[in-house]
Amino acid sequence: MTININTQQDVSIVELPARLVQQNAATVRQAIYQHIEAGNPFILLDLGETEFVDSSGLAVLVAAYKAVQPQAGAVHLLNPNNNVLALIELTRLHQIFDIFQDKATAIFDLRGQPATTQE
Amino acid sequence: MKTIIFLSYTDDEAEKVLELIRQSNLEQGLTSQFNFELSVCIAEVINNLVEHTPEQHKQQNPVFELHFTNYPDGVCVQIVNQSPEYEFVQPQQAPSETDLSGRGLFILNQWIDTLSYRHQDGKNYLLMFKQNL
Repeated sequence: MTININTQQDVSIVELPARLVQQNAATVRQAIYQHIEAGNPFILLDLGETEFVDSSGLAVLVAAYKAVQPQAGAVHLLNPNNNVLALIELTRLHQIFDIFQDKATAIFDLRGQPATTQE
Repeated sequence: MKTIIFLSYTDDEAEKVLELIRQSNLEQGLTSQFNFELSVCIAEVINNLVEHTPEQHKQQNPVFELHFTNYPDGVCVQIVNQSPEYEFVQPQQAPSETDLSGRGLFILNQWIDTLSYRHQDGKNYLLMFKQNL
């Protein structure tokens, strides 16, 4: 499984899979960890293609949040569908993540600069 | 309509059964939200069962059963496997936002209307009913 990570203005945009579940959580978490440890503490987790998340998938989001703290970074969530958003809110994760529907706005919020580059 | 599905403890099986249930629920006119919530809960139960079943028992009894029944007012799912009894906790509060674990059973408690666990004759029976409001 390949996790696509694109960078715009020092923000790493991680494209999460359609199913973020126990069976692939460790792989996704490892990919995110490696990217953060390489000096990329500003992370935008793109849930736009993610249709299904279980508690192990939620733990991936939390792991990313915790991993950027030592580097004074931040993690935002992008474009979760209504079902996934309901799960995030049920488990109160919206209290630690800012959630955006628009990529440019999310990047601006992470880095304080308007997005000027396209993928 | 009652369906009995036999599952192995491997990962792909869980995904297949969730798709079967999703299709069945859609045919019954249940909403995407209902489907999602029920599917997450079934995934959490299967994850919990796999976690609590010793490898020795998985090898001796590599198959477990999922009974799935549509009723006019909701859906009933029973999962049965042969394994030692385990402690099935039902947390009422969400774990801390920064905890890495402990959300699965909390989600179950929130999204399933009736949830019961019993151990009888060497088997675990986990029964859940989700009402279609």
